[in-house]
Amino acid sequence: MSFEKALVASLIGGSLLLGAACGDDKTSTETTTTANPNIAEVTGAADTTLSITLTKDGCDPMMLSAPAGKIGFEVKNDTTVRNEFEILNDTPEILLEKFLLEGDSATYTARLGPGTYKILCGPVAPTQGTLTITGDATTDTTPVKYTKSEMTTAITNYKAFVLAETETLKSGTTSLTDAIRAGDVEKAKSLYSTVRVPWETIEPVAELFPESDALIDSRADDFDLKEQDPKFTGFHRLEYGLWEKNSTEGLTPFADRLDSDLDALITGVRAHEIQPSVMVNGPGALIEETAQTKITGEEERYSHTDLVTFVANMDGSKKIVDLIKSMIEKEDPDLVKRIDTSFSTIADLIAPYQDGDTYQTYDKLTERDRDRLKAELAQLAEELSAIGGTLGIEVNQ
Amino acid sequence: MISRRALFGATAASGVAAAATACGSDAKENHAGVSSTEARFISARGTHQAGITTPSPDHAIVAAFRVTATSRADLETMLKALSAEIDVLTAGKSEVESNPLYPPADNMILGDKPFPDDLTVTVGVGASLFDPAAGYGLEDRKPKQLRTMAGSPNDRLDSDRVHGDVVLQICARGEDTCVHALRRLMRVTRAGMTPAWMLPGFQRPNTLGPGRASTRNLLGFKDGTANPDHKSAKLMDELVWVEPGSDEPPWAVGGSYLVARIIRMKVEFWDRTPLHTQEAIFGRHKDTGAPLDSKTETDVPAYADDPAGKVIPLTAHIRLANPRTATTEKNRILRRGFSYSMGFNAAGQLDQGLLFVCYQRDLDEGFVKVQERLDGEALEEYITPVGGGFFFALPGASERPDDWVGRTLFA
Repeated sequence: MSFEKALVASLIGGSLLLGAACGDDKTSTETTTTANPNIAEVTGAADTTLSITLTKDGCDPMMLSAPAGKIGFEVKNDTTVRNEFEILNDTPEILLEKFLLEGDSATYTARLGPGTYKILCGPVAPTQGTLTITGDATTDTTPVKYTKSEMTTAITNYKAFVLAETETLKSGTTSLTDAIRAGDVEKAKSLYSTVRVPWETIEPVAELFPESDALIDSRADDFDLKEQDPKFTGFHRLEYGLWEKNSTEGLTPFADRLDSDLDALITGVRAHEIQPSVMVNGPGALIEETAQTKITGEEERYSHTDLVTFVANMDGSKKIVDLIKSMIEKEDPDLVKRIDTSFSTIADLIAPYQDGDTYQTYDKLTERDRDRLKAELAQLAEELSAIGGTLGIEVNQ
Repeated sequence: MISRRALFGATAASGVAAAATACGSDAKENHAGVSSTEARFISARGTHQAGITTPSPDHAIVAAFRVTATSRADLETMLKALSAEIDVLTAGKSEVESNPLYPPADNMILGDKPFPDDLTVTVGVGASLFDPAAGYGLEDRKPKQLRTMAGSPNDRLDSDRVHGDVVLQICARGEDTCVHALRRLMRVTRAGMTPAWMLPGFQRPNTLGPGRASTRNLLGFKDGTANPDHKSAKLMDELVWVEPGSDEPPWAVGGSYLVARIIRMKVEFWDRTPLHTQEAIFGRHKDTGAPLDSKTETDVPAYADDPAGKVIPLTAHIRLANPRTATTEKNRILRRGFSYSMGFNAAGQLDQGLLFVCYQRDLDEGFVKVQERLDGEALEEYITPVGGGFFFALPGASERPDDWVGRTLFA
């Protein structure tokens, strides 16, 4: 059906429904929406409840008011057709969108911050009502499902954790590069994997500095000339020299370079203000990377210390989850349980490979355990991908 | 919530607008791939080779080869044999009867009577064929901009899946028709060229357009919405074909630069990405294909009204690929890509992606410029180009029976 025909049909039908205007296309109403538009919808008891009726003339009453918080909407459709109830902000974006059959009633709960909202009762222009939400203007008006202070605390704690890790990373790396400069191959090899642990743990923040990340943690296959490429620097360049050549020869410039590249990164990290999106995206992104390129043993391809790195990635992901867990728990306690189970299953799978304060080399990992890890990582990634939606937060980069 | 914003715009007549979108963007689209036209034999002859502005059918194979012919004469012989076999295959000529004491002349994949299946075979050549070291004496014949594809920053090119002296783009409705043709073509060129890399692709043919696409890529987004209209000869002359009087060598008139790219998509990661993020990365609504600032697929995004990228982010794919300015109009390319799905990789993840193919008269102003703009796009986190190459699709062979694809290159 053309635009014009649809328009005519909907005018002829008066308050004709969107769905009905489309004739045989039963799903058309749904297809105009991009997934679930109910981003303000929350579960649990409402702080305030408002009653509203959809009539042939629009919303009754036309003006509503409530204090900020969780607001319950008791909606009744008094029209003779299936009808629509929507809440929009002034962007305008749809925060809640519900359809009711003729005569039906339902209650929906939405979390709304202070401001003025439009309420739509039916699809035509004159049927809009106004909803005024009162409250402290400093209250976060985004329809997120956590309090700002909870997130602020989580970010503060995570930042402190990251800063402490960067200190460990710096001192550890210096001992590694000192050993290289002193020509002590064995000492350098013994330090390598442990020194990298804090680096792999804070990866969600380190990757926010792509230039430093590339200088510090690239792999040979990122470069045209692979290992021989002069642009190949960082930890893995040292790893290549120490294991493949079993020598520190020629590594001093790379050691010096790593020290200064790391300093630049740490300066950046110190000054960086961590955003909520990192807290929400970070845990999953780290697992995605582990599932894509680390489970294959390609990360530490010369030293085969992949399991040390793997555990550091798990710890780094879990650290953030633990900090935001209380927020997720309020919305979806079952999700927290599933995430915890997933992390502990992976920890149990890795535990037998622990060897004193380090882990066995990657080649010791049995095919069966590698398969199980792949499966568990994939499952964990699926669970973590629900965090953003659960907390009602946009996670665009 | 970017994606719904446009639906409601400044006016509140939202229901009506939404209904129009829903109904306007056709029930037909839900049955994409059911083409109304009958399959046919498509002649390989003409000013241009077939398979470039020909509507894309369901399947393709892109196969690259390294030429092993040791002299210019042997290379000519090989290309003549290739051209002759393409004529036979695309005309659906029956095979001569075989003596059963010999191996059969045809592989019989399509049975004993070839049927029309929209088969096209397009031949391209790589820069290495013109290399003085190749020994064919073609160095002064090289199309001006033809060169070995250099990697972009996000590329991780696999040396087993790049470049080549000759490339064949084989397209047909049936995958079996493509396989049939590939095997026949390889058989008549055995001593002249050896396999470099090959990738089969698939896609539902576009039942809409121009300006609209029913075809979707493996990230679930419409692909080809803003593709130039292949039916417009004027536009194709402007964007696709090397024209007389250009600074390209005269033999190249009627040809086109062919870029092939194997672009792996991290589909598991993508499927775990919020819809809003996916839409912000592309700059389009996933369901309707409309730009995020609009409600209809054919709408042109109004970037001038959104200089800060609040609605369509500055790093969005469509915004970088085609900024819709007067100066970027000449950068438009004719895309003719296919999806691929090739099993699992070592990490236990799907090896899926896009077998990207595009044509343009000016490589630097076309693909190269577009790719430069795309370097650093938000989508990079989800894709890794791993192979492909730069080629020049040869001019077509005329109707004269003694003509062949590549003749002008040696004339």
